[in-house]
Amino acid sequence: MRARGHRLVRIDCPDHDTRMRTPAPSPLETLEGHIRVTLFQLGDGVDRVAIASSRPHLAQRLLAGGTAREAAERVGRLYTLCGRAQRLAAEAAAEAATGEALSADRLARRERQVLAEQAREHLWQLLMPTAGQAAAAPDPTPLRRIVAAGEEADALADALTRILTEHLLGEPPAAWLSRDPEALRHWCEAAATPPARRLAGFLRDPDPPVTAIPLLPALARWQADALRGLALQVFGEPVFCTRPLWRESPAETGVLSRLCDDPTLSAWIADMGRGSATRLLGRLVELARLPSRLQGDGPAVVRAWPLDEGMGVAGVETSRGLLLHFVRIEAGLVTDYRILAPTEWNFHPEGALAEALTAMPADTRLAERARRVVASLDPCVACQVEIRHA
Amino acid sequence: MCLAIPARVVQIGDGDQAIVDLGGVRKEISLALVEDVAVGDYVIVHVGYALTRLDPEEAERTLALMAEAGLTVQAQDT
Repeated sequence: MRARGHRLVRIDCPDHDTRMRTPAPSPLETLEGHIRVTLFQLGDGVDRVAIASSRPHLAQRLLAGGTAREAAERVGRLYTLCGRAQRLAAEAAAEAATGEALSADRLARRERQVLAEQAREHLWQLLMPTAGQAAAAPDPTPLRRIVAAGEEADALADALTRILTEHLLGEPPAAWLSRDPEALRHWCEAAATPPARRLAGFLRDPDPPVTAIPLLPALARWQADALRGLALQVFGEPVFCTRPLWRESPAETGVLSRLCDDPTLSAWIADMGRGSATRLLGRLVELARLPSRLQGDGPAVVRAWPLDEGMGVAGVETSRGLLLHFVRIEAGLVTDYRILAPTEWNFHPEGALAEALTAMPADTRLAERARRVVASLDPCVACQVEIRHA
Repeated sequence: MCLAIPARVVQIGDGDQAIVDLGGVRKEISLALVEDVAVGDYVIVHVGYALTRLDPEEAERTLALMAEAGLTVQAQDT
Protein backbone atom coordinates (compact mmCIF):
# COMPACT_ATOMS: atom_id res chain seq x y z
CA MET A 1 0.00 0.00 0.00
CA ARG A 2 1.29 3.46 -0.82
CA ALA A 3 2.03 5.60 2.20
CA ARG A 4 0.45 9.04 2.38
CA GLY A 5 2.57 9.41 5.44
CA HIS A 6 2.27 12.08 8.03
CA ARG A 7 4.79 11.54 10.73
CA LEU A 8 3.41 10.44 14.08
CA VAL A 9 6.33 9.29 16.13
CA ARG A 10 10.01 9.54 15.60
CA ILE A 11 12.32 7.91 18.04
CA ASP A 12 15.86 6.71 18.10
CA CYS A 13 17.23 3.38 19.04
CA PRO A 14 17.99 3.45 22.76
CA ASP A 15 21.42 2.01 22.44
CA HIS A 16 22.91 4.69 20.34
CA ASP A 17 23.25 8.39 20.85
CA THR A 18 20.44 8.87 23.36
CA ARG A 19 22.74 10.63 25.78
CA MET A 20 24.24 13.04 23.35
CA ARG A 21 21.85 14.76 21.06
CA THR A 22 23.71 17.27 18.93
CA PRO A 23 22.11 19.39 16.22
CA ALA A 24 24.18 17.88 13.44
CA PRO A 25 26.29 14.76 13.43
CA SER A 26 29.96 15.10 12.70
CA PRO A 27 31.04 14.12 9.16
CA LEU A 28 32.97 11.30 10.77
CA GLU A 29 29.80 9.99 12.38
CA THR A 30 27.82 10.08 9.16
CA LEU A 31 30.59 7.91 7.74
CA GLU A 32 29.37 4.87 9.66
CA GLY A 33 25.83 5.11 8.31
CA HIS A 34 22.59 4.33 10.09
CA ILE A 35 19.46 2.21 9.88
CA ARG A 36 16.00 3.68 9.36
CA VAL A 37 12.96 1.59 10.25
CA THR A 38 9.52 2.82 9.14
CA LEU A 39 6.29 1.19 10.31
CA PHE A 40 3.22 1.92 8.18
CA GLN A 41 0.22 1.76 10.49
CA LEU A 42 -3.19 0.83 9.07
CA GLY A 43 -6.11 0.70 11.49
CA ASP A 44 -5.10 -1.25 14.57
CA GLY A 45 -2.25 -3.10 12.88
CA VAL A 46 1.02 -2.60 11.04
CA ASP A 47 0.46 -2.83 7.29
CA ARG A 48 4.11 -3.08 6.33
CA VAL A 49 7.60 -2.26 7.49
CA ALA A 50 10.49 -0.66 5.59
CA ILE A 51 14.07 -1.14 6.78
CA ALA A 52 16.77 0.88 5.03
CA SER A 53 20.47 0.87 5.90
CA SER A 54 23.09 3.38 4.81
CA ARG A 55 25.94 1.40 6.34
CA PRO A 56 28.82 1.65 3.87
CA HIS A 57 30.68 -1.47 2.85
CA LEU A 58 34.26 -0.48 3.29
CA ALA A 59 36.05 -3.83 3.21
CA GLN A 60 36.95 -4.11 -0.46
CA ARG A 61 38.04 -0.48 -0.79
CA LEU A 62 40.02 -0.24 2.42
CA LEU A 63 41.43 -3.74 2.74
CA ALA A 64 42.28 -4.85 -0.79
CA GLY A 65 45.63 -3.97 -2.32
CA GLY A 66 47.81 -4.47 0.75
CA THR A 67 49.10 -7.49 2.58
CA ALA A 68 46.89 -9.65 4.78
CA ARG A 69 48.70 -8.35 7.84
CA GLU A 70 47.90 -4.76 6.86
CA ALA A 71 44.25 -5.69 6.30
CA ALA A 72 43.99 -7.21 9.79
CA GLU A 73 45.64 -4.18 11.36
CA ARG A 74 43.32 -1.78 9.51
CA VAL A 75 40.10 -3.63 10.22
CA GLY A 76 40.94 -3.90 13.93
CA ARG A 77 41.57 -0.16 14.03
CA LEU A 78 38.38 0.75 12.19
CA TYR A 79 35.75 -0.77 14.48
CA THR A 80 35.07 -0.02 18.16
CA LEU A 81 32.61 -2.60 19.37
CA CYS A 82 33.83 -5.72 17.63
CA GLY A 83 37.37 -4.55 16.82
CA ARG A 84 38.93 -7.62 18.36
CA ALA A 85 36.61 -10.00 16.49
CA GLN A 86 37.22 -8.15 13.21
CA ARG A 87 41.00 -8.32 13.57
CA LEU A 88 40.98 -12.00 14.53
CA ALA A 89 38.61 -12.86 11.67
CA ALA A 90 40.94 -11.09 9.24
CA GLU A 91 43.97 -12.97 10.57
CA ALA A 92 42.20 -16.33 10.52
CA ALA A 93 40.82 -15.85 6.98
CA ALA A 94 44.27 -14.94 5.67
CA GLU A 95 45.86 -17.94 7.41
CA ALA A 96 43.28 -20.22 5.80
CA ALA A 97 43.89 -18.66 2.37
CA THR A 98 47.65 -19.07 2.61
CA GLY A 99 47.77 -22.40 4.46
CA GLU A 100 49.47 -21.00 7.55
CA ALA A 101 49.02 -23.16 10.65
CA LEU A 102 48.89 -21.73 14.16
CA SER A 103 49.98 -23.34 17.42
CA ALA A 104 47.35 -24.67 19.81
CA ASP A 105 48.36 -21.92 22.27
CA ARG A 106 47.70 -19.14 19.74
CA LEU A 107 44.31 -20.64 18.84
CA ALA A 108 43.34 -20.95 22.51
CA ARG A 109 44.37 -17.34 23.11
CA ARG A 110 42.24 -16.25 20.18
CA GLU A 111 39.21 -18.07 21.62
CA ARG A 112 39.70 -16.30 24.96
CA GLN A 113 39.98 -12.91 23.27
CA VAL A 114 36.69 -13.41 21.43
CA LEU A 115 34.93 -14.63 24.58
CA ALA A 116 36.27 -11.62 26.51
CA GLU A 117 34.86 -9.26 23.88
CA GLN A 118 31.53 -11.13 23.96
CA ALA A 119 31.46 -10.73 27.74
CA ARG A 120 32.09 -6.97 27.57
CA GLU A 121 29.44 -6.47 24.89
CA HIS A 122 26.81 -8.57 26.68
CA LEU A 123 27.47 -6.78 29.93
CA TRP A 124 27.15 -3.42 28.22
CA GLN A 125 23.82 -4.43 26.67
CA LEU A 126 22.48 -5.84 29.93
CA LEU A 127 23.41 -2.80 32.00
CA MET A 128 23.00 0.19 29.73
CA PRO A 129 19.74 2.09 30.20
CA THR A 130 16.91 1.17 27.89
CA ALA A 131 14.69 3.61 26.07
CA GLY A 132 12.91 6.02 28.33
CA GLN A 133 15.54 5.56 31.02
CA ALA A 134 18.25 7.46 29.19
CA ALA A 135 18.76 9.83 32.11
CA ALA A 136 19.53 7.03 34.54
CA ALA A 137 23.26 6.42 34.38
CA PRO A 138 24.22 2.76 34.85
CA ASP A 139 26.45 1.67 37.71
CA PRO A 140 29.93 1.72 36.11
CA THR A 141 31.38 -0.74 38.64
CA PRO A 142 30.75 -4.02 36.74
CA LEU A 143 31.85 -2.48 33.42
CA ARG A 144 35.06 -1.22 35.01
CA ARG A 145 35.65 -4.59 36.63
CA ILE A 146 35.31 -6.54 33.39
CA VAL A 147 37.70 -4.22 31.56
CA ALA A 148 40.21 -4.41 34.42
CA ALA A 149 40.02 -8.24 34.41
CA GLY A 150 41.70 -8.39 30.97
CA GLU A 151 41.71 -11.55 28.85
CA GLU A 152 43.49 -14.09 31.05
CA ALA A 153 41.06 -16.98 31.57
CA ASP A 154 41.11 -17.36 35.37
CA ALA A 155 41.00 -13.65 36.19
CA LEU A 156 38.21 -13.02 33.70
CA ALA A 157 36.19 -16.02 34.87
CA ASP A 158 36.50 -14.89 38.49
CA ALA A 159 35.49 -11.32 37.65
CA LEU A 160 32.54 -12.52 35.58
CA THR A 161 31.29 -14.87 38.28
CA ARG A 162 31.39 -12.04 40.79
CA ILE A 163 29.63 -9.59 38.44
CA LEU A 164 26.95 -12.17 37.59
CA THR A 165 26.33 -12.99 41.24
CA GLU A 166 26.37 -9.45 42.59
CA HIS A 167 24.99 -7.33 39.76
CA LEU A 168 23.02 -9.45 37.29
CA LEU A 169 21.57 -12.61 38.81
CA GLY A 170 21.57 -12.08 42.57
CA GLU A 171 22.68 -15.72 42.95
CA PRO A 172 25.58 -17.88 41.71
CA PRO A 173 25.48 -18.58 37.94
CA ALA A 174 25.28 -22.38 38.41
CA ALA A 175 22.15 -22.11 40.57
CA TRP A 176 20.52 -19.63 38.20
CA LEU A 177 21.26 -21.80 35.12
CA SER A 178 19.48 -24.76 36.70
CA ARG A 179 16.14 -22.91 36.77
CA ASP A 180 13.36 -24.15 34.49
CA PRO A 181 11.18 -21.63 32.59
CA GLU A 182 8.73 -21.27 35.47
CA ALA A 183 11.53 -20.70 37.96
CA LEU A 184 13.11 -18.18 35.57
CA ARG A 185 9.82 -16.28 35.30
CA HIS A 186 9.65 -16.24 39.07
CA TRP A 187 13.22 -14.91 39.17
CA CYS A 188 12.28 -12.10 36.74
CA GLU A 189 9.54 -10.97 39.11
CA ALA A 190 11.43 -11.44 42.36
CA ALA A 191 15.05 -10.43 41.67
CA ALA A 192 15.98 -6.78 42.02
CA THR A 193 18.76 -6.71 39.40
CA PRO A 194 18.57 -4.46 36.30
CA PRO A 195 18.19 -7.34 33.76
CA ALA A 196 15.52 -9.07 35.90
CA ARG A 197 13.49 -5.85 36.11
CA ARG A 198 13.80 -5.27 32.39
CA LEU A 199 12.77 -8.86 31.62
CA ALA A 200 9.76 -8.61 33.95
CA GLY A 201 8.62 -5.52 32.02
CA PHE A 202 9.02 -7.36 28.68
CA LEU A 203 7.02 -10.34 29.97
CA ARG A 204 4.11 -8.16 31.09
CA ASP A 205 3.85 -6.74 27.57
CA PRO A 206 5.43 -9.29 25.20
CA ASP A 207 6.24 -8.55 21.57
CA PRO A 208 5.25 -11.02 18.83
CA PRO A 209 7.72 -13.93 18.62
CA VAL A 210 9.57 -14.58 15.38
CA THR A 211 8.46 -17.90 13.86
CA ALA A 212 8.91 -17.71 10.08
CA ILE A 213 12.47 -16.41 9.84
CA PRO A 214 14.90 -19.24 10.64
CA LEU A 215 17.99 -19.02 12.79
CA LEU A 216 21.28 -18.84 10.90
CA PRO A 217 23.39 -21.89 11.82
CA ALA A 218 25.91 -21.14 14.55
CA LEU A 219 29.60 -21.23 13.63
CA ALA A 220 30.03 -24.74 15.09
CA ARG A 221 27.61 -26.14 12.48
CA TRP A 222 29.17 -24.71 9.33
CA GLN A 223 31.01 -26.89 6.81
CA ALA A 224 33.34 -25.90 3.98
CA ASP A 225 30.82 -26.81 1.26
CA ALA A 226 28.15 -24.44 2.57
CA LEU A 227 30.71 -21.67 2.95
CA ARG A 228 31.96 -22.23 -0.60
CA GLY A 229 28.39 -21.62 -1.79
CA LEU A 230 28.13 -18.51 0.35
CA ALA A 231 31.51 -17.27 -0.94
CA LEU A 232 30.25 -17.50 -4.52
CA GLN A 233 27.36 -15.20 -3.66
CA VAL A 234 29.46 -12.89 -1.49
CA PHE A 235 32.05 -12.35 -4.24
CA GLY A 236 29.66 -12.62 -7.17
CA GLU A 237 26.69 -10.43 -6.17
CA PRO A 238 27.54 -6.88 -5.10
CA VAL A 239 24.41 -6.49 -2.91
CA PHE A 240 24.62 -9.88 -1.21
CA CYS A 241 26.57 -8.57 1.81
CA THR A 242 23.94 -5.84 2.33
CA ARG A 243 20.96 -8.26 2.14
CA PRO A 244 22.29 -11.73 2.83
CA LEU A 245 20.23 -14.90 2.42
CA TRP A 246 20.73 -18.39 3.79
CA ARG A 247 19.04 -21.11 1.72
CA GLU A 248 17.15 -18.35 -0.09
CA SER A 249 15.74 -16.90 3.13
CA PRO A 250 16.76 -14.11 5.49
CA ALA A 251 17.92 -15.50 8.83
CA GLU A 252 18.49 -14.35 12.41
CA THR A 253 21.92 -14.57 13.98
CA GLY A 254 22.97 -13.91 17.57
CA VAL A 255 22.63 -15.55 20.96
CA LEU A 256 19.54 -17.50 19.89
CA SER A 257 21.31 -19.15 16.94
CA ARG A 258 24.14 -20.12 19.29
CA LEU A 259 21.99 -21.24 22.22
CA CYS A 260 18.99 -22.86 20.55
CA ASP A 261 20.15 -26.22 21.99
CA ASP A 262 21.17 -24.85 25.40
CA PRO A 263 19.26 -26.71 28.15
CA THR A 264 18.20 -23.53 29.99
CA LEU A 265 17.31 -21.49 26.94
CA SER A 266 15.76 -24.15 24.70
CA ALA A 267 13.07 -24.88 27.33
CA TRP A 268 12.32 -21.15 27.50
CA ILE A 269 12.17 -20.86 23.67
CA ALA A 270 9.72 -23.79 23.56
CA ASP A 271 7.52 -21.94 26.07
CA MET A 272 7.89 -18.32 25.05
CA GLY A 273 9.12 -18.26 21.44
CA ARG A 274 11.77 -15.94 20.01
CA GLY A 275 11.01 -12.36 21.08
CA SER A 276 12.90 -9.53 22.82
CA ALA A 277 12.64 -11.17 26.24
CA THR A 278 14.16 -14.40 24.91
CA ARG A 279 17.05 -12.54 23.29
CA LEU A 280 17.73 -10.66 26.53
CA LEU A 281 17.55 -13.87 28.53
CA GLY A 282 19.85 -15.49 25.95
CA ARG A 283 22.52 -12.86 26.60
CA LEU A 284 22.25 -13.56 30.29
CA VAL A 285 22.47 -17.35 29.77
CA GLU A 286 25.49 -16.97 27.49
CA LEU A 287 27.22 -14.67 29.96
CA ALA A 288 26.42 -17.05 32.84
CA ARG A 289 28.07 -19.92 30.91
CA LEU A 290 31.15 -17.88 30.01
CA PRO A 291 33.20 -18.60 33.17
CA SER A 292 33.21 -22.32 32.31
CA ARG A 293 33.62 -21.66 28.59
CA LEU A 294 36.76 -19.66 29.35
CA GLN A 295 38.24 -22.91 30.64
CA GLY A 296 37.82 -24.39 27.15
CA ASP A 297 34.42 -25.97 27.66
CA GLY A 298 32.25 -25.25 24.61
CA PRO A 299 32.25 -24.98 20.83
CA ALA A 300 34.89 -22.89 19.04
CA VAL A 301 34.09 -19.21 18.53
CA VAL A 302 36.70 -18.71 15.80
CA ARG A 303 36.93 -21.06 12.81
CA ALA A 304 38.47 -20.75 9.37
CA TRP A 305 38.42 -22.76 6.17
CA PRO A 306 40.54 -22.70 3.03
CA LEU A 307 38.17 -22.59 0.05
CA ASP A 308 39.80 -22.43 -3.35
CA GLU A 309 43.38 -21.55 -4.28
CA GLY A 310 44.30 -18.41 -2.31
CA MET A 311 40.80 -18.02 -0.89
CA GLY A 312 39.92 -18.27 2.78
CA VAL A 313 36.92 -17.64 4.98
CA ALA A 314 36.81 -17.14 8.73
CA GLY A 315 33.88 -16.92 11.11
CA VAL A 316 33.80 -15.39 14.57
CA GLU A 317 30.87 -15.56 16.98
CA THR A 318 30.44 -11.99 18.26
CA SER A 319 27.84 -10.85 20.77
CA ARG A 320 25.61 -9.68 17.88
CA GLY A 321 26.00 -12.87 15.89
CA LEU A 322 28.14 -14.53 13.25
CA LEU A 323 30.80 -12.34 11.62
CA LEU A 324 32.27 -13.75 8.39
CA HIS A 325 35.35 -12.53 6.53
CA PHE A 326 36.08 -13.70 2.98
CA VAL A 327 39.49 -13.02 1.46
CA ARG A 328 41.36 -13.77 -1.78
CA ILE A 329 45.12 -13.44 -1.74
CA GLU A 330 47.44 -13.51 -4.76
CA ALA A 331 51.21 -13.20 -4.59
CA GLY A 332 51.01 -12.04 -0.99
CA LEU A 333 48.51 -9.24 -1.66
CA VAL A 334 44.78 -9.09 -0.89
CA THR A 335 42.83 -8.90 -4.15
CA ASP A 336 39.26 -9.28 -2.81
CA TYR A 337 37.82 -8.72 0.63
CA ARG A 338 34.23 -9.00 1.86
CA ILE A 339 32.77 -8.77 5.35
CA LEU A 340 29.37 -10.28 6.12
CA ALA A 341 28.30 -8.82 9.48
CA PRO A 342 25.46 -9.76 11.89
CA THR A 343 23.63 -6.43 11.50
CA GLU A 344 23.00 -7.16 7.82
CA TRP A 345 21.35 -10.50 8.65
CA ASN A 346 19.21 -9.20 11.50
CA PHE A 347 18.16 -5.95 9.80
CA HIS A 348 17.43 -7.51 6.42
CA PRO A 349 14.32 -5.74 5.00
CA GLU A 350 12.37 -9.01 5.16
CA GLY A 351 14.14 -10.54 8.15
CA ALA A 352 13.43 -11.17 11.84
CA LEU A 353 12.87 -7.51 12.73
CA ALA A 354 10.40 -7.03 9.88
CA GLU A 355 8.48 -10.16 10.90
CA ALA A 356 8.19 -9.09 14.55
CA LEU A 357 7.18 -5.52 13.71
CA THR A 358 4.57 -6.51 11.11
CA ALA A 359 2.80 -8.71 13.68
CA MET A 360 2.50 -5.94 16.30
CA PRO A 361 -0.81 -4.39 17.34
CA ALA A 362 -0.77 -0.66 16.55
CA ASP A 363 -1.75 0.66 19.96
CA THR A 364 -0.18 3.40 22.05
CA ARG A 365 2.75 1.15 22.96
CA LEU A 366 3.73 0.35 19.37
CA ALA A 367 6.76 2.67 19.33
CA GLU A 368 8.10 1.35 22.61
CA ARG A 369 7.70 -2.27 21.56
CA ALA A 370 9.29 -1.62 18.16
CA ARG A 371 12.24 0.09 19.79
CA ARG A 372 12.64 -2.84 22.16
CA VAL A 373 12.86 -5.38 19.32
CA VAL A 374 15.42 -3.20 17.54
CA ALA A 375 17.49 -3.04 20.74
CA SER A 376 17.24 -6.82 21.25
CA LEU A 377 18.70 -7.37 17.77
CA ASP A 378 21.37 -4.80 18.69
CA PRO A 379 22.34 -2.99 15.47
CA CYS A 380 25.97 -1.86 15.43
CA VAL A 381 24.97 1.62 14.17
CA ALA A 382 22.35 4.19 15.16
CA CYS A 383 18.81 3.14 14.29
CA GLN A 384 15.82 5.43 13.90
CA VAL A 385 12.25 4.13 14.19
CA GLU A 386 9.40 6.05 12.61
CA ILE A 387 5.67 5.34 12.54
CA ARG A 388 3.49 6.58 9.68
CA HIS A 389 -0.17 6.22 8.87
CA ALA A 390 -0.57 4.13 5.75
CA MET B 1 29.25 3.72 17.71
CA CYS B 2 30.43 1.19 15.25
CA LEU B 3 33.50 2.97 13.92
CA ALA B 4 36.29 3.66 16.37
CA ILE B 5 36.52 7.42 15.81
CA PRO B 6 39.05 9.09 18.13
CA ALA B 7 37.59 12.06 20.03
CA ARG B 8 39.90 14.67 21.59
CA VAL B 9 39.12 15.70 25.17
CA VAL B 10 38.85 19.51 25.24
CA GLN B 11 37.41 20.11 28.71
CA ILE B 12 36.93 18.09 31.88
CA GLY B 13 34.06 19.17 34.10
CA ASP B 14 32.50 18.10 37.38
CA GLY B 15 32.33 14.43 38.27
CA ASP B 16 33.14 12.31 35.25
CA GLN B 17 31.70 14.70 32.65
CA ALA B 18 33.87 15.95 29.80
CA ILE B 19 33.57 17.71 26.45
CA VAL B 20 35.19 16.07 23.44
CA ASP B 21 35.80 17.20 19.88
CA LEU B 22 34.70 14.59 17.38
CA GLY B 23 35.76 15.65 13.91
CA GLY B 24 34.87 19.29 14.61
CA VAL B 25 31.67 18.63 16.55
CA ARG B 26 31.68 19.03 20.34
CA LYS B 27 29.90 16.54 22.56
CA GLU B 28 29.42 16.00 26.25
CA ILE B 29 30.50 12.55 27.39
CA SER B 30 31.21 10.61 30.58
CA LEU B 31 34.70 9.48 31.63
CA ALA B 32 33.29 7.10 34.28
CA LEU B 33 34.71 4.00 32.60
CA VAL B 34 38.29 5.20 31.96
CA GLU B 35 41.00 6.41 34.31
CA ASP B 36 43.64 9.14 34.16
CA VAL B 37 42.29 11.02 31.15
CA ALA B 38 43.62 14.56 30.68
CA VAL B 39 42.67 17.42 28.37
CA GLY B 40 44.28 16.79 24.97
CA ASP B 41 44.02 12.99 25.23
CA TYR B 42 42.12 11.01 22.62
CA VAL B 43 39.35 8.58 23.64
CA ILE B 44 37.03 6.21 21.82
CA VAL B 45 33.41 7.07 22.64
CA HIS B 46 30.35 4.82 22.60
CA VAL B 47 26.84 5.92 23.59
CA GLY B 48 28.17 8.89 25.53
CA TYR B 49 30.90 6.99 27.39
CA ALA B 50 34.63 7.04 26.76
CA LEU B 51 35.58 3.36 26.46
CA THR B 52 39.34 3.54 25.92
CA ARG B 53 42.15 6.05 25.83
CA LEU B 54 44.45 6.23 22.79
CA ASP B 55 47.94 7.62 22.56
CA PRO B 56 48.18 10.56 20.11
CA GLU B 57 50.19 8.64 17.51
CA GLU B 58 47.62 5.83 17.50
CA ALA B 59 44.80 8.37 17.20
CA GLU B 60 46.50 10.07 14.23
CA ARG B 61 46.82 6.76 12.40
CA THR B 62 43.18 5.95 13.04
CA LEU B 63 42.03 9.41 11.91
CA ALA B 64 44.05 9.00 8.70
CA LEU B 65 42.29 5.68 8.06
CA MET B 66 38.90 7.31 8.75
CA ALA B 67 39.74 10.09 6.29
CA GLU B 68 40.52 7.48 3.65
CA ALA B 69 37.25 5.68 4.48
CA GLY B 70 35.40 9.00 4.09
CA LEU B 71 36.83 9.47 0.61
CA THR B 72 35.86 5.89 -0.15
CA VAL B 73 32.25 6.51 0.85
CA GLN B 74 32.09 9.67 -1.24
CA ALA B 75 33.42 7.71 -4.19
CA GLN B 76 30.73 5.04 -3.63
CA ASP B 77 27.99 7.67 -3.45
CA THR B 78 28.91 9.33 -6.72
